[in-house]
Amino acid sequence: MLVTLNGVSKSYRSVTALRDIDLELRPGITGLLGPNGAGKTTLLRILATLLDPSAGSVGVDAWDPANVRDRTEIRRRLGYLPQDLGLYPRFTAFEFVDYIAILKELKDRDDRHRRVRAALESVGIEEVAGRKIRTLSGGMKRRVGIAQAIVADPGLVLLDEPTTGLDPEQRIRFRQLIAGLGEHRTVVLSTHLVEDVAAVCTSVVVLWQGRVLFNGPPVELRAAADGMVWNAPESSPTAIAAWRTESGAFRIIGPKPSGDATAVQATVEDGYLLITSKSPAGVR
Amino acid sequence: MSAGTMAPIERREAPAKSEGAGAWALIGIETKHLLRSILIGIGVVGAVVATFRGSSGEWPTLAGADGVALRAGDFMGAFALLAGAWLGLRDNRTGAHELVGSTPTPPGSVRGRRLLSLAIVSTAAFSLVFLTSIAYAFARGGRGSPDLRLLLDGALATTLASWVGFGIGTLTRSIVVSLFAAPIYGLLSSQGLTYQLNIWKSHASYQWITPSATLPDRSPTLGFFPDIFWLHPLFLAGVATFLFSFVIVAVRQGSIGQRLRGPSTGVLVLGLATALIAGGSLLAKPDGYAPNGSDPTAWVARYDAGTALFADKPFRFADDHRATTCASGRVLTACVYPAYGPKLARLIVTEFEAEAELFHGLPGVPTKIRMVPAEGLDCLTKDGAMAFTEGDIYFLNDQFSSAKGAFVDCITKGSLFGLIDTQPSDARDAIKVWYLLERGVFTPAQASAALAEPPGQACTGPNGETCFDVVQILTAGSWTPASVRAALAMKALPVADVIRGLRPVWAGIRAGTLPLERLPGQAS
Repeated sequence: MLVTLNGVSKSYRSVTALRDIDLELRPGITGLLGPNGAGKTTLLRILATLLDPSAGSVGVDAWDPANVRDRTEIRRRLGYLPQDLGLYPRFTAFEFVDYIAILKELKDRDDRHRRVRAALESVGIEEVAGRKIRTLSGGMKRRVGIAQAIVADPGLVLLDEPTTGLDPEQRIRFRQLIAGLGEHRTVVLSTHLVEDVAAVCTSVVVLWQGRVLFNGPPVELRAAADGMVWNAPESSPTAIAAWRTESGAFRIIGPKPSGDATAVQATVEDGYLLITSKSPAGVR
Repeated sequence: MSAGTMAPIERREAPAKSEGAGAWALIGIETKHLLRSILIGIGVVGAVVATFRGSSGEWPTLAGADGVALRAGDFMGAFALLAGAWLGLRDNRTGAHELVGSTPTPPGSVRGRRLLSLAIVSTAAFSLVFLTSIAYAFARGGRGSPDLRLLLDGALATTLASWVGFGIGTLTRSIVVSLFAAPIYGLLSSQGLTYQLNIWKSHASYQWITPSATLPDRSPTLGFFPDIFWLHPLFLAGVATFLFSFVIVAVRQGSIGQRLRGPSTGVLVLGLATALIAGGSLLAKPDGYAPNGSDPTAWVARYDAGTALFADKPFRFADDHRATTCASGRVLTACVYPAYGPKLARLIVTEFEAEAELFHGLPGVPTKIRMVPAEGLDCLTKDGAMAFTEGDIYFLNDQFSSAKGAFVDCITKGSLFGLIDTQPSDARDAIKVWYLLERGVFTPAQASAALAEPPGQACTGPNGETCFDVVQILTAGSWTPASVRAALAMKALPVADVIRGLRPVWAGIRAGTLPLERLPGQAS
């Protein structure tokens, strides 16, 4: 599905969460990066048709979410995992995913149950499908959330901080799952974990204080920091960001520090830090 | 999550229809969870206990057990309200509202399905209470036919309570408000509202338009007076229909014009109109009827009867031939409505025959007790038959000595309203004290000793508690020392001589005009 945003802004009384966003999201996995408060969740809620933009327009294929009928069509093709995932604690994992599948208009009972089982299996919790959600761990609950997002085979998948609460092994498995989803669908993955984006995303959008700072493939984000990343025995006063690594040396992003410094391969995270630091009020 | 590549998720086409898809599946899931709800469980258990307690003071009839269940429905309704509030709060309390809101199923449809689930569970819960009450009455020997309209009415009232709770939970999103709503709703829906509105002293019967209907006077044989159980369920159905469609219309997106478009608006108007018409008709119903004969269609509204009805104006309560279940003793036959069963007829004979036998042969002393449908009337003696009202069964169950006292009171008065003592009579009191002496309630020596006590002093036990002994019977009552002395003089004579002596003066005793000196055994 093709998602377009033209001049989208969103304000909550005196607070402006999004400012004049222009984006085009195509099939594949788009990582939405940004610190807390950057506007990622607001953007996803607009894409999920839960919020109307204060200004600008959104299009999902040929549908306009401002139109009630179009909004329903979009929702039919939407899989959404909110940041604050709400599950019914007295339901079993199977029941909850089945419940959402019903709301997503999967009418045939046998087909729906087959899809629910497949979704639970794809997130690796088929063995606890009959357990009440209140008895599941945080990571398992997150996976129930992912299962409900994919159960109806959505064309547009919006995942807000999906790896929160997952242990490292689960995160790696989750990346495999997302990679599979992104083959045919438009997946938007909001996260503050750059490594998730680097691992699976085909494009990256960096949001900063409601604005788009970067929009392009991860390799370009990484390339933004090429020639700006150094290993040095000491920190540098001219560094945009600097931290001590396991070897005891400093990894420095910025102009070449004076003294004994060697250039190293930049990562997506380096690019992200560099871009966000260049923005007004960027962190150092 | 599988370690390898993810299992492919099949693609699907968007459904052709947006409404109604999987509606019953969702209702099924919600219903299953509501049936497991602790709130519904407490409501059912509490209401069943209430039916057991409520049944204990009533003679078991299936046509009475349905009313007991309806009254217990108030308790069920309070917990149904809480269950509804819980469901209304659930999405916001769990944070699932965004997830649910991002699905193609319209919010009105989701809420509508949840309301239907509440209706199913409320109906099932009240039906369980209703059937338990009926089964309990049957096990206790109750017979007759329950009025199934009360099942419908109770189910609707419980459903309405759960929907009100759902609305409160959805709109306020507050657990505290929802918790307080249950007792407030219970108060307003049953007695509280009625009392508040009745201070206007109007003829409008507000008690008939509360969700939990106050039970009108009722005869298992003749039905309700007034019969509100066609209009009341219709009224509840109208209110429920209005609420249901209001939810659908209110959450519809768009302008007011867009929201009002569609069939649910028509249903909303229909529900409102039904509620208004049925409610208006209920308000116009009398609060009760004053029986003035054996033909219920001729009974007058209680507020029209006023005090005139209680002015001892004679009327015949002619035999309507409905009291056909009879039992006979040596001098007394008792006939009751079949719904009460032969056990009640036998009990009446057993308990009153000694009294009937003692006064046997005196003019107007009943040889037959016949059941009549009215409440609040006693002593409708006529031609040797005494009317036994359905309400008197309560006295048989719980206050048997009072029932015997009332029986003797009726015998000595012979008026239509024997318990309303408008004409105190020492001679009549002397007869009653003589009866108590003959029945061995107390001895002549005790009666003589009681005469020495200061009048009006209540009996107190060693710890200051009140007690009911001969002193209290004689001193706390209206009987004078002269009437007690006259009774003691009669007690000194053989019973046959007393009856023989009473026969020529009996009319004067019942009229309350006979002087004490003309009673048997009195010194001239």
